[in-house]
Amino acid sequence: MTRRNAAAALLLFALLSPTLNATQARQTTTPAATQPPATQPQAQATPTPDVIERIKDEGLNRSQLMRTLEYLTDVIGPRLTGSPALKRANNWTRDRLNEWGLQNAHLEPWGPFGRGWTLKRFSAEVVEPQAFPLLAYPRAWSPGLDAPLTADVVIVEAKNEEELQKYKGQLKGKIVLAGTERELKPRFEPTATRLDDKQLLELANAPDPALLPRLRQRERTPEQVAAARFNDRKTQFYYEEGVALLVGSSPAGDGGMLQFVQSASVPQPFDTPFDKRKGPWDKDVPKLIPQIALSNDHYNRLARMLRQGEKVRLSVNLQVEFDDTDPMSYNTVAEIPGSDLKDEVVMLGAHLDSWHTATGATDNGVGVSIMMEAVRILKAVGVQPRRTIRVALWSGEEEGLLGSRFYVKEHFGPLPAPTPSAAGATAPDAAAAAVAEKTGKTPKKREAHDAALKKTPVPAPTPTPQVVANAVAQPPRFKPEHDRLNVYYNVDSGTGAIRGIYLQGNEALRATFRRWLMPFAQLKVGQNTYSASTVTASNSSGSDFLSFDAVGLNGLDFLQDDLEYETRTWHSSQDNYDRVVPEDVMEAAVIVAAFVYNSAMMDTRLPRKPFKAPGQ
Amino acid sequence: MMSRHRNAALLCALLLFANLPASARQTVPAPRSTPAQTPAPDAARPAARPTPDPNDPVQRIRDEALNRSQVMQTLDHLTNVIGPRLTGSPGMRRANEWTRDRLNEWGLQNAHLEPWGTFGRGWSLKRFSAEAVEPQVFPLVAYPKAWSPATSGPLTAEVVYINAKNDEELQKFKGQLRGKIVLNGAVRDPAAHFEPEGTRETEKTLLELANAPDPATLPPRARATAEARAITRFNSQKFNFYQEEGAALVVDPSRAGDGGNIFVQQATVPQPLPTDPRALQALLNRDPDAPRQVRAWDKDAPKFAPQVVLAIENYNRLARMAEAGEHVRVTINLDAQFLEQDLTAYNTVAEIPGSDLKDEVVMLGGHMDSWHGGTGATDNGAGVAVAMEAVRIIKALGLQPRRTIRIALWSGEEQGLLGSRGYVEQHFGKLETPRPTPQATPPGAAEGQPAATATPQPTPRARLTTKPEYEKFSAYFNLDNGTGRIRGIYMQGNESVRTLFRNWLAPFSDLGAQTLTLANTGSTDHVSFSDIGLPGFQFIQDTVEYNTRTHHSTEDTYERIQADDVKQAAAIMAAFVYQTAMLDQKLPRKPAPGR
Repeated sequence: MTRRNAAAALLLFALLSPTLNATQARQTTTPAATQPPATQPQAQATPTPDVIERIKDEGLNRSQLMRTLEYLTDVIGPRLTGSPALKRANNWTRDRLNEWGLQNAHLEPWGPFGRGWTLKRFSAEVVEPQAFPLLAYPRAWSPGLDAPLTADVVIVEAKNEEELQKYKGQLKGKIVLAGTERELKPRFEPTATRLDDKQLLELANAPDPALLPRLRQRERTPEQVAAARFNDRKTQFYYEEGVALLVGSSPAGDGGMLQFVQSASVPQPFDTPFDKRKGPWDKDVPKLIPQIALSNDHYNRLARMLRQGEKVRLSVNLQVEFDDTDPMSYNTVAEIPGSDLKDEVVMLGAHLDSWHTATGATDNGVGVSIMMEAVRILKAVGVQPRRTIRVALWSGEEEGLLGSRFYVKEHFGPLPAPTPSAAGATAPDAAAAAVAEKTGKTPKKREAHDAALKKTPVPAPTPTPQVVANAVAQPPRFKPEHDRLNVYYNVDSGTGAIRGIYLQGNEALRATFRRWLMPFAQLKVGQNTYSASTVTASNSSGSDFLSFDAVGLNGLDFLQDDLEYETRTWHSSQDNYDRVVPEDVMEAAVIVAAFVYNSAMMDTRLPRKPFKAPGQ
Repeated sequence: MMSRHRNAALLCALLLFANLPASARQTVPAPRSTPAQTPAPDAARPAARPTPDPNDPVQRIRDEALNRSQVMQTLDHLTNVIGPRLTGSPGMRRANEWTRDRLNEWGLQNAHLEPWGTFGRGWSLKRFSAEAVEPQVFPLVAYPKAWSPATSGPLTAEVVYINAKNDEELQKFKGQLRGKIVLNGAVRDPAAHFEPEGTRETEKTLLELANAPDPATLPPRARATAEARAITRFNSQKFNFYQEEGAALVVDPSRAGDGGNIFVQQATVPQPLPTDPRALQALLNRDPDAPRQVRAWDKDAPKFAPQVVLAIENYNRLARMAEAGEHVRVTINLDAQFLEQDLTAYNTVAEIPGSDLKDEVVMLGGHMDSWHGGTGATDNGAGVAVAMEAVRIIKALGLQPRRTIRIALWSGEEQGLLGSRGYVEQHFGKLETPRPTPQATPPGAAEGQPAATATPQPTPRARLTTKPEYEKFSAYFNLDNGTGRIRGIYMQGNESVRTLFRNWLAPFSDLGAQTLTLANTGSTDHVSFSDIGLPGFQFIQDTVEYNTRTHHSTEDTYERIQADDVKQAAAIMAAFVYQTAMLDQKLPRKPAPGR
């Protein structure tokens, strides 16, 4: 398999490179690689249209998706990685899948991850000079307070060490405003949008992402480095001075919404590499100052009150429970066994873990519910897939795709690179929060991609024979299962309907997927009519399919309408059941079910794109 | 701005007078010779605006308003430091005094607090927090209703979701509510925001206003439908039921808004509905002659269970958890103080004395009281700050008005325009509608459907009594529709001011203020003036997020204010007030009612 992969890589490089002789290139390819389904669709077993119609019928007329989601979000609630609630969600999803007739439903451990964290009590109020309740959330894994704390609020307005020293001896036991005042704009644009023809056309016409310039991490200017360093110094100062509570602002959002209030900050140099950074969930993390974040409306008001000389006192009650009983975390995994090709696997999945300030409905309760519904539909319809269908509900996604990365390492090959780095990718957690913190704006998941599209595509450097030779000479050590995984499908962009699929640079999938999307060009669900027909060569970003992609497997993400995801629900206190549009997620479930079914029934596996080891 | 529905009745009353005999109209002074009759040269071609004359008072006003504005500083203190200003509360009193002192500092004369009558109890929040504590813990986005009684210490109790649609369904909960927290009413689906929450007036909406007919020719607004009356009645019954059953606390879902926003006003006092069908009907119709219900701010209001409003997402989740069979327990700590030492409420009033016509008065204002969930920035901190800024500008420029300019910052507006009504009655006059003579209930008239077959009573004739100041009054200008810039003005059915106002708006056409509409607007303090035939006006404003986000909500904060918009509004307010004060004549009036 590895060899065939390398051959496919050669072919693609050959096609891309005008300097390589086409005849030579062809001579190096194997017959399998020269016959992608793109050129010979009739070679594939075409699923009977009847099955797709039955999938639609089950998924649209007897949907159980919203019931799954309701239990997951309203009853189980937020599912922070390592927390007892996530374990409950693991068990509940396993049991549901088992009830629906899936086989081998089990929890698969990965880790160790770190400590669980559960909120036990939380309230925050201004009590002087007047009383009003504050819209606030603790940051995840923040330590609790020993007792309800009532203390003066101080805003530290220091721009350098000298100014900082003026606060020496004055912060002990105080509550420090350590966030950012931000100007909030009226909402003259709708928060909910669907992809319009223009955007879809751009995606349809997107070039091979391998041709796009790799997005480099923006280098910090000397001023930014100095500012980041002084920020570290301020944090250190708060610890030295014995601050009782750090109060941040919401990195984005306004009104009653907080966005990107994620995990507590661990004091460490700002330039600590991503894979060396300590998480507040680590068992050996130093004692942290309790940390909460306020809505921007409230943060701004407190800052202005202080600036006008008001003496402001807050009362905060924060009780939390750390759970060290089990350092391992779990993915929920279950199967519909295949028949003649049962050793081969088609996977689908989404992450079960969420942030803690809401109930993780769109990130990613909907993905989980869609995937569960897809396999429920297939079981209910009673089809017998040729390949084994395996659903995996990940955890640790929000902390860096941890659950899927460990799974991929365990089953398919070496541990994928810690920072998912497909072109246009944003790291799921820290990067989003960091961008928001800096700009006050929700970072656009597709923003980097869109920016890249606007540039004239620059051909990738011509691969020298040396590079190709290296790729052949030093293949990563994949496990036998690597050869047997057909494809992994992922949904993780909120409640929006599926409008198509990202090829993740694997052009060889286009014709097959175009065919599979045809029954969904016009789909009426309730009062809505949806159209899912766009196939884009582009890379999607920021979720568990990257763990598969990183080891050369087909790890694919569906293209979804951005229905309030980036503007309202992504990592926000508004990520709750009420934001989910039932028709949209029902549409997604039938499309996923159809893709999974088709993938399980085809004669030969979907072609892969050439494997590129990290750094190439 | 107070809730519109409550004012529907006022509007009805006003419209009734359109049917008065012609003799009533003859008391109206014929329009006198004003600049309106002899348009200034530039009024004929408002588009061709010559280079502004730097000595023109209006240009100087505009320059001061746009380039040396203090309106945001005023608003900052009023909203962020003083905070919400519930009528009768210490926050309100502080605002009364602070605005008086500011106006005094700016050189206004006779700055004082003017009592307008007995209002009732003040209410001040001392502590509030709400959390779900079982089966899992999460903080709730919630706000107590104003004048809600306190809980005695933190209250922890199980929630009961009551989605009863009629009395029969309600009775199923009999015996089950003692000591419980009631979730009162159906869950509500907050739809995705495919439309922006922030909007400005479009050519289409402005054109509709420009072409609006004389409001006197419109049919009176329809009375409450039978369905609306049934809802009002059932709502009232539900609160009575919870009280009888001994519920510990009643939680409402926020009636509008989403995303953590809460629309919250005063607590509902459980009380029996009138037994007299006619009185009940009047009450349900919100007629002016309806029997007075006990209000939460009344000194002798009975004790009742505390009331809290929950953000819709939290409300829905608790309801769905309860329906899924979870035993949901919530802890609410609500400490509030009732203040009864001074039941009087006050308006802040100050003047720029006039010169040759100083006995005549031009007024401007906004209402200083607010609801308690936000900081009353758009309702109506903006109106207050704009009115204050307008008089500051006139003083700063050293302009000497001919008439006295008087600013009034009202209170009690949210409870029914009480401050301005009290003021108007004390200074200018009163329109009295005699109560209909009580009639025996027609035999067989079932409760809830009275009078339908009874002989209709003749509409009682209202009678206007005026005071000497009535004749010395020129006009009142009000601003109370949020943060949006001024786009024009409502003439409130007074066609005779059109040319004047057209001229006065001309220097601001480049700032988007051009549209004159004959239409009425209601629900705020200019109505207290126009109700008795005095020229009382309110400006047309861009909606921005007023209806969708800020009107009576927890998001009515300083953050929602658009600085450029309120600066523009202050310029126009100052220009209108100044020019009204400089006219040879008072502004022409429309026919007075009740004469």
